[in-house]
Amino acid sequence: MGNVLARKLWNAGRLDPEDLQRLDEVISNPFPVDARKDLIQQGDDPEHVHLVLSGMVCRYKLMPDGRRAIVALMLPGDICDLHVAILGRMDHNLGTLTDCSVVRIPRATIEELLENHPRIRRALFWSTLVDEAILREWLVNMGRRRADKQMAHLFCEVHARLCAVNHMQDALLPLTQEELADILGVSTVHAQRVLSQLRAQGLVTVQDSRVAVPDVERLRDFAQFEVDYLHLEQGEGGRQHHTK
Amino acid sequence: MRFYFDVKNGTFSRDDTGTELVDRAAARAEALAVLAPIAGEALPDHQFSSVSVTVRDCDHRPIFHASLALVEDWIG
Repeated sequence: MGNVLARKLWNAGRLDPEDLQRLDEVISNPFPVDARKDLIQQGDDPEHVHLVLSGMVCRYKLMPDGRRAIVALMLPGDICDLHVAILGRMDHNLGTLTDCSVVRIPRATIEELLENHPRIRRALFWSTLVDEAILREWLVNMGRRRADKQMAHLFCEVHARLCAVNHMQDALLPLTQEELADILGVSTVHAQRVLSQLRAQGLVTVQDSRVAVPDVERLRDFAQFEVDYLHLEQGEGGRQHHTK
Repeated sequence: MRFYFDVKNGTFSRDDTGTELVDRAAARAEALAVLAPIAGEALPDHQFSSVSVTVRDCDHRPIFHASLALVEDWIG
């Protein structure tokens, strides 16, 4: 399946050929965005939602003193701001972490998908529920896990999510120590220190600000990572759609 | 400017990677910020009762030192 949005939504349950065709139309006009550029800022009242085709986008908030808190990562196949279609004004920022390929989907298209394509509607609802599940896990991560387990858990999650959409090029996660610090809510130096500890234990390797996971199972054991909250059942996801 | 943060909490861990920061004041702030989580996570579980950090500048000269000590006693 070449369409990464369809690949992701497939996890929610089967899609029909007409759904897949509609999703191919939706992603037909991607454009490139450089790393570290804002896609949309707090206060904007956008007419589009953004879909990531490749690269990594983050949802973030800025503190009055300029510090940043990254509260979500969007990977290939993820729609960044679906809620904008309903809530309107943005209450946070979206920025690229790496060079990305992005699609702007007009609000009207989202409305049309919700209106006319019940399986896609269900899949989009599924994806927002999974986003919530991920956010819950991040809260647990920040509140209850030690920094080394917290970072390892994050790597396990990103790894699993990239694998689920066949985007795990050489098992590399492009995250700098500043970005890790902003995700985990720790200082940059602490993030650097914890990353060094994980390296020293052979749990990760780092090259050019890219983190590789040599042995996923070992890292999962260390992080006590349970993949269930990502709901990646691949076509049999959750409860099946009840057809009338 | 690149700064290096060597931490000692029972064992010594030398920072060979360093962190890019705007100035010495930022390096001090980072050094202090790194002590608290280490103390919170490591001190109660281990024999040692203090953690310290030494900051080196881009020429690897030590420029700042800070330490945090835990004092605990059974009182009843």
